[in-house]
This record gives sequence, structure tokens and C-alpha cells, in this order.
Amino acid sequence: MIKNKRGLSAMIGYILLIVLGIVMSVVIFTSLRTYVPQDPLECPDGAAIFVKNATCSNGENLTITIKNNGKFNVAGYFIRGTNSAELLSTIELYENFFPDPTGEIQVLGNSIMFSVSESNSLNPGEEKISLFELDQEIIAFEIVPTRFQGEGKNQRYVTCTNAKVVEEISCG
Amino acid sequence: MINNMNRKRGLSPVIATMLLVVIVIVIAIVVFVWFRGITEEVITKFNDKNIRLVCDEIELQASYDSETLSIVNIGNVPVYKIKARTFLQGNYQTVTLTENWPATGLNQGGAYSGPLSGDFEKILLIPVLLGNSERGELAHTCEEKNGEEIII
Repeated sequence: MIKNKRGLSAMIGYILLIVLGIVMSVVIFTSLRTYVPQDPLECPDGAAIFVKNATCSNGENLTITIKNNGKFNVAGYFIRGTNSAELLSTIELYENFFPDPTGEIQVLGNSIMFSVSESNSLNPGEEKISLFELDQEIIAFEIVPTRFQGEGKNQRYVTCTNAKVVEEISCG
Repeated sequence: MINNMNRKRGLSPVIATMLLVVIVIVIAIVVFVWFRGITEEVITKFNDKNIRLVCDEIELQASYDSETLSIVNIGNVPVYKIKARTFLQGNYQTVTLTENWPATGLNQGGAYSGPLSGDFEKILLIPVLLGNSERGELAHTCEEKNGEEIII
């Protein structure tokens, strides 16, 4: 009587458990995959530029010579001016950039790029000259170098905030 | 009694197995759809990185003087919009900055200067980011901890 009793096969029980486990793992993986922390791309500490020379001519033409005095190549820079010592530098000077006669230096978005190839082209020790035709007065400007960091699809244009340089000059 | 037991009819083991497998699959699908329905839609930015993690990378510099709010994006995350929460005597109100706000948002290295009038004790700038989801581009408001505080 006991031998003729029929019941659920143990194999089917295993299959059910495995299927449930796989489904739950897929659900959890899908929802948590994006929370895996990744190190943010940052500018390396040794990246730096400085303003070798800054002159104001005709009361509105600002000419600056920027030199790479860091350990890494630099792609370009952000440049902002201010007309008040109390306020942040919020005057975007890229809009006043005078086109480079050589065609090398160009505006990319809201930054100045040292090369049309959009790469880290300014090597350590090299310098470039940029001209800005100001339409309002500034008493100081700040420049922040930028770099392309990362490789392939992970490459991003990053700002080197720690390497910011502030120069006082009355122009415009 | 033995003859009665031999005549009893039941479900074939093959059919029973198939039914069990089908039931499990259906239940799994139902659970999966239900779970996706109750969880928040995932918004990502910068190669499938959850936008909540990107909010932590935002760096802003801000100041307020003579009813003028100045903001500079000194980080590497473009900010789509900013909600300014102003506090006065325990109360607060939130406005989205629109006047003079760049059409494409405050990109990295970008600067903003616009009017903000009123009587405040403190201003909290809460960034809003634009990310990608299954429904396309969606805006995500970061948490207050990611905001930039200005004490007046």
C-alpha cells in the first residue's frame, strides 16, 4: 500500500527551487546593477597651468599667455571674469575669445581648447597665447585647466578645479 | 478495496510536471512585473551609473549679494536646473531658477548670475540632473544633502 502511493518527484522540486532562485537573482541584479559605485573621473593632481603674461591693450583687448607648468598634458581651460571683489567670477570670457589666426585654439562649448583635435595637446612646458575682446569691465579673471580623462567610451572632459589660477587685471 | 484503488483515476505524472513548471514560470513573471512596478524607475547617467550616485559628484560654488545670486559649476557634472529653496523663520519656499538660466543647463565650468529677491536667512541650491531611462531623458532632483547652502 505504501509502495503504490504516488508523490511529487524530488527532481521537480529541485527544478522549481532553481528556477525561483534564478528569477529572483535576475530581478535583484537588474535593479541594483546601476548602484555599483565607480570611481569618478578626476583631473590628476599634477595638472597645472599658470598665466605667464596678461596685458590689456586699448582698454578692452585682453591678451594672456598661458603656460603648462604641471606634469600632465592639458586640453584647454575655462576662463571667467569678475567686476567685483565680493562676487564670484561669473562673466564668461569664452564668448569674447578672438579667433586664433593659426586656427589651432578654438572654443569648445564654454571652454577654450588648445587644439582642434580635442585632445590633451598642451604639453608640460609649452605655452599658448589667447586674445579676448572684452565688452565689459573686469578687475580679475580666473582660469581653470581642463583635460580629457579616461579611455574609450569612458573618456570625459574634466575640470581641474584644484589648479585654478586667479589673476587681477583691470580691463574692458 | 485493492480493485477500487486500481480503478482510481489521477493526473498523469508528465502532465503534472508540465503544469508545475508552467505555474512556476507564470508566478515568476507575475512577481517580476509586480516588483518592477513598485520600484522606482532607474535613471542613469555617464555609462549606466545611477543618477543618485552622480548627484554626489556635483560641486557648486555660490554666493548671494544685492539680490543677485551667482553660481559656478566647479565640478564635472552638468546641472540641468537648480531649485533655490529660501528659508525664513522656520518656513521655506522653493523656486526653480529660470531668469538668465542657460538653455542647456549649467555645464561644467559654467557660471550663472541672476536675480533672487526677498528676505531670507538661508538659501539652499538643489541641483536637478538630466539622465537616461527606459522612457527617454528624465529629470531627477537630487537630495538636499547634495545642495549648496548659502547663509545670508
